[in-house]
Amino acid sequence: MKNTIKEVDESVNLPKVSLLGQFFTLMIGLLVVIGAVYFALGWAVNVVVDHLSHETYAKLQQRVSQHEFLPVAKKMQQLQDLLDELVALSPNPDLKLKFRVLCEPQFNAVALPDGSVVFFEKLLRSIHSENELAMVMGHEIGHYISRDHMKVMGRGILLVLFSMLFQMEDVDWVGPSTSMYHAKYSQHQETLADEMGANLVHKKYGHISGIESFFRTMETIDMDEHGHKHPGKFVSWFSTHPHPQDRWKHLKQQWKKTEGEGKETFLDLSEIDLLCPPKASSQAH
Amino acid sequence: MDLIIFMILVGVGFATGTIIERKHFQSIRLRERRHLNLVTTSTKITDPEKNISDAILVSGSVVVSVDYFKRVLAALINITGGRVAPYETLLDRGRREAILRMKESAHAWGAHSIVNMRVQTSTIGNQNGKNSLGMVEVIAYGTAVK
Repeated sequence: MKNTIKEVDESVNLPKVSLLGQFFTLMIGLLVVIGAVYFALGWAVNVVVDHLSHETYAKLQQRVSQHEFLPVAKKMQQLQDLLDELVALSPNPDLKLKFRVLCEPQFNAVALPDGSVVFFEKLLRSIHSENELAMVMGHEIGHYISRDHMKVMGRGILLVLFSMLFQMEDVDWVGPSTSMYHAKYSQHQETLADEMGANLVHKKYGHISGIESFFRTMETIDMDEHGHKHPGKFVSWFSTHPHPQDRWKHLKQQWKKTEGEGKETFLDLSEIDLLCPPKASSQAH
Repeated sequence: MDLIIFMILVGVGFATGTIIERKHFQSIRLRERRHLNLVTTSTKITDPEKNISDAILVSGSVVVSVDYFKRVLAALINITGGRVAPYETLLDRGRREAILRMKESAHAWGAHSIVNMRVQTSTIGNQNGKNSLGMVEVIAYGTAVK
């Protein structure tokens, strides 16, 4: 038998494709698929939450409420009464909401899935009248009535499901939901919440005075001492919310015929110094 | 932060993996040419024209590992399915290196050929975990005759 001596033919076993090209193709493809599935499921969550019956939704809300999302937030009975009053005037007077204060230097307020309306210290200290406060409370009540907080939580849960699918460890489902003060609602959701806020302020006081001054406060907080804007510094409210001027313009148009100038109600917020000692807060600044 | 670490690992893996693999293939080609005349077959039949005075078992084994970039690429291909090119080069390097080591061992002994050659592979490390295919051992063995 003859034995032919021959060099190894590399064209048989070695791949001819570019590994880097294959990597980028697969990565981009995977990201597109994940994005498509995420948005499809996010849309599905919105549809499902909107179409849940009151009974089912109440059960879901009750279950979620068992988890306290921000245990460090403090009670403030004086403002709880105001919140209850506004809820009673809202389209869903059976809503059970808890007013909470978080001693953090942020100009923000959030509606958490456990029914907590959480005001951050800086926002509370920037409020000048009860009317302004009622506007923010009404805005958050608007989010509850539109079930926005549950929709955002649904997306948070989806995120965790994705991370579990790709074996990213140390992820718990509560995690994304507890950081819900970073929750992003769409501008449309924010506009609807604004309308609800103004509606409740009008129902309670007979006018919408105080709302404009609140939006002005928002604008000034977004500026430095020279009056220049801080792009990106103040993200909590403005990142997804329309610009304060536009928000006020929109509400003004809505209430053009019926609004009347009225007197703003004085608000004593001295209790906040007991909850969040000023010394600690100034150090935090 | 996790994403940055991931990207750095992929980048470093790609750069080092490519350089090491290129150098390894160069070395393999050079040594294969050097030992081209050492007849190596998988049959049990020896060349009848050559007298056999002695025979020994020769073997060569190697453990090779893929870089992080190839591991990630293989994981991506695992999702879509298809030819797992990053592991094909790994196994090709492993097989050829093991055969070369076996040949070098036989050459040092003074063999004129190797018969009944066999190649076997096995994975090393946690075989149930997600990194089970990271390292592979290839062993080549046969009977060297002179």
